[in-house]
Amino acid sequence: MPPTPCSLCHTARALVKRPKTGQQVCKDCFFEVFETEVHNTIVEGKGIFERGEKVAIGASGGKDSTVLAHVLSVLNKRYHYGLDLFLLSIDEGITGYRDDSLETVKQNQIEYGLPLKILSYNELYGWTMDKIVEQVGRRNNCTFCGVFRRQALDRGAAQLGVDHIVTGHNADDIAETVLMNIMRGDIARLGRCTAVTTQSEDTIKRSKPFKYAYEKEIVMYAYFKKLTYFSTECIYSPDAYRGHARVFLKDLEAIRPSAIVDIIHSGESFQLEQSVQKGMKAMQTCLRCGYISSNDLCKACALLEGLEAGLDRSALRQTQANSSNAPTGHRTIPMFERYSNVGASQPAEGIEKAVQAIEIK
Amino acid sequence: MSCGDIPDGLATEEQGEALMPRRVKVQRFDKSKCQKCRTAKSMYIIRNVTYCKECFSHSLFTRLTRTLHPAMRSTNLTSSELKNKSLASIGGNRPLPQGGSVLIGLSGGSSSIALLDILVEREYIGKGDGRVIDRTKGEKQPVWDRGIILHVDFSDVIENPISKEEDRSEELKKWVEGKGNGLVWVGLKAEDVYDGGLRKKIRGIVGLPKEAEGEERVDGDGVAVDLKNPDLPLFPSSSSSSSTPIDQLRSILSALPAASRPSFLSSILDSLITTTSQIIPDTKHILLAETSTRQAQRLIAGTALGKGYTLPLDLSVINKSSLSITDGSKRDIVRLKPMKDISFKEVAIYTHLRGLNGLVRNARNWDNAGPQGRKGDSRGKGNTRSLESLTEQFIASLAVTHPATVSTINRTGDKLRFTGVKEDEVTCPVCQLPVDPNALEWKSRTALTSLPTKTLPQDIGAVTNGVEQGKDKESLAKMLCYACLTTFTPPTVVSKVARTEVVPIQLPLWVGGNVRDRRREMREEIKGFLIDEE
Repeated sequence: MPPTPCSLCHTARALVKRPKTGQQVCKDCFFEVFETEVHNTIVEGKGIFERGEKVAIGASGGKDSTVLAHVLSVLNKRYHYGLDLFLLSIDEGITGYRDDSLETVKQNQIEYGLPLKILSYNELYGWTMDKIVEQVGRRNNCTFCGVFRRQALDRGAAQLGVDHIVTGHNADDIAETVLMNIMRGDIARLGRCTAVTTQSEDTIKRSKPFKYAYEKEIVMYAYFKKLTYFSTECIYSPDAYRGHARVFLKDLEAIRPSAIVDIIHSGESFQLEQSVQKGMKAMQTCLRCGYISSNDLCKACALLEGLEAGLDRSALRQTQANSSNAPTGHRTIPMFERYSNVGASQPAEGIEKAVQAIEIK
Repeated sequence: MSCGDIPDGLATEEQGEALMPRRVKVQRFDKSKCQKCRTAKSMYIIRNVTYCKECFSHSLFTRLTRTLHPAMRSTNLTSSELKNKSLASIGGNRPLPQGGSVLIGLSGGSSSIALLDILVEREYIGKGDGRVIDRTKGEKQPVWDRGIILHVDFSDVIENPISKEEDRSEELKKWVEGKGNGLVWVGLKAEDVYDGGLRKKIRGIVGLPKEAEGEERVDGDGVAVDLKNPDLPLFPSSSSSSSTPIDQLRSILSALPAASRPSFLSSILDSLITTTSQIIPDTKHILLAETSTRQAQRLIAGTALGKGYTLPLDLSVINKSSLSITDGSKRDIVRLKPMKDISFKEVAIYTHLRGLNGLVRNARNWDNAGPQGRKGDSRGKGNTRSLESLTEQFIASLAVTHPATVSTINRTGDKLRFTGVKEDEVTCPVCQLPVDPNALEWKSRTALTSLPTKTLPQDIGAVTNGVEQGKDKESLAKMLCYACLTTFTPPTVVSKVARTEVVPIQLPLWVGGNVRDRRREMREEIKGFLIDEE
């Protein structure tokens, strides 16, 4: 069979078929089109970033965050965004999973020359996921991890002094979230989940530059660029509801590859009834730790209280105690300082060591 | 609270003795007897409540009225009628008489048959003969004067792998006419969308004069499109009008990818319903018997198809639209979905109860439309070929482990609202719903099919057989809404170099008509700036 020319440059021989459009392209064009799409997502409208902004990349060592770190560094230089990039990693304390992936993050730090900060659940809450699962069981542990991680990311970012967090959520993740929120009736989240940047008052901005990038393409990019990443799933990975949405999404993609992007488009068009919007809770601050919350106690403090009290699954349903003081003997989360004095807190691991091994020679 | 020293929520089992002794669970009802009337034997259990036959029928009817009646009240026409209190007091629970005709879509599935059965039984539809009701004899005031039953048959395009799909029109017609309620049967076929004489045919059936004043000839509306080109260039209708409507329908179905066929057939169905309601002058309401299960499927499948912008319109119980009729004026028509709160299971039980199951066929089978087994067609899980059927399977399987799925999905759907201003919106020529702004631009931005840095070789062109190149042709892609664009877009973007032959496919006449109207509107807008009117 005669080699087909690349559909984009029409000169080189086509080596890959793009999962998103089905086009047959050569490797270089694939890299270029992938990076250009991410660049378009970033600069669309007023743009996600501002010049000189400090940006923390949520790095788990998995494929999404590794490729994100790589692509952001490349685009930052190529298009002169003028960003100050950091790597921020969270250690949930899952043996056999997180400790391995953290090694990958440390490698990334060396490869891209970015300062790294690691925050652990143990340090922050006094609990690791291993201990939590021991107490709570394997079914609803994702809730704990998710709630704790969100706060941890914000706190780490505040300690680094950054104003913006980027995560590697890809198109598949967002499409799954849209479907899941429809199926579970989570109206509040449905309205927010397709935005490329989310921010409530006084919280750190979070963005998803990979919003339109397919998971398959991210894997292909990492494979062809020979990037190192850690590729297994969390060992406590579920039975979660998200699993249903994921299987359904994969089946939809098999029938029509553009379904993922179509779902995101639909999600963006959804608007809520006015009465529903007004009925949603207003934001306050947690009485115990100062993080933002929709109730008197933020969810993390509530969950922590449940754990400390020795509850199993019922820690999830812990009703919000109206006191801002934790019961005696319980650990509490340290006070959240949104704008911390960067110098005073633990400095991020220095860049000097990493700079030595820096890239393009 | 001072029962013991244990704070709320933290008491464990053993400490229960410090609190009140646990109550023994008392069975308050007998599952063998109906829980509503407490006398008859229970036949069905729905959501943990037992029903006997009568109470079940009654509960179904109550739920139907709870959806239907408020919808009718709010679409009530004149304020003077509302002020007429004596009318309001007639019948108590019945809606105010609307007069005019009601158009009921009968697909032959459980819910449409059940809907018609209930409405006729409860005398909602008049016999069309204008007689005065004698209430002393227990007759009820019908809500509509006349019922028109519309059935569209798709059997000519469905290739069932097991046996030939049968045309059920005769069977259903016999049943409908056997009801003796003066119901008018309008039986159409899917390929009628290519038939220039469709309007004449419908008029003939309903008893109207064959030619209406001011209606333009529809035959000249034909447009053809090149489906292999992602810009979807339009061509004037090819002079091969010797091909029959069914051939033309089959050729477009074979040109579309398998995953797109059900949504295309769905727009055919919608267009036939709209056309029929346009032609019959006193139609006030269109009733569509969509169950809650089907509604949930439509919401999820619609999201997957990219229909998010118009979904709130699609899902609402009341959908009022202004249809332009032949003399250029507009008439309000309201689409209602009275079965919205009733699940598929309940409707199936009802048809079983009424002995109608011999008549019911539930498989729409649009997955098997058009040619089967083409190379390159992907078959999804469970042998599905379309997003819609995959969604049906998914929701059915999810409902087993999470029984509240359907109602949760519907509740979410109810909270969405349509953001555009309906009257001002530009409508899509195919689905006739508002177009989402910047659909084409969004699509090309998120999935780049060409790089700005790479120059393309000169278009080798597709000049063969005297058919012109697609380059300076009007593009259908710019007029379509996002979902229709997804339906028509070729699945793999074929390089321009590889495309040598352009074969335009004929589009149905309603699409051609809408394209022509759009062109005319656009020309009207720029009329003042055109120098040469010729």
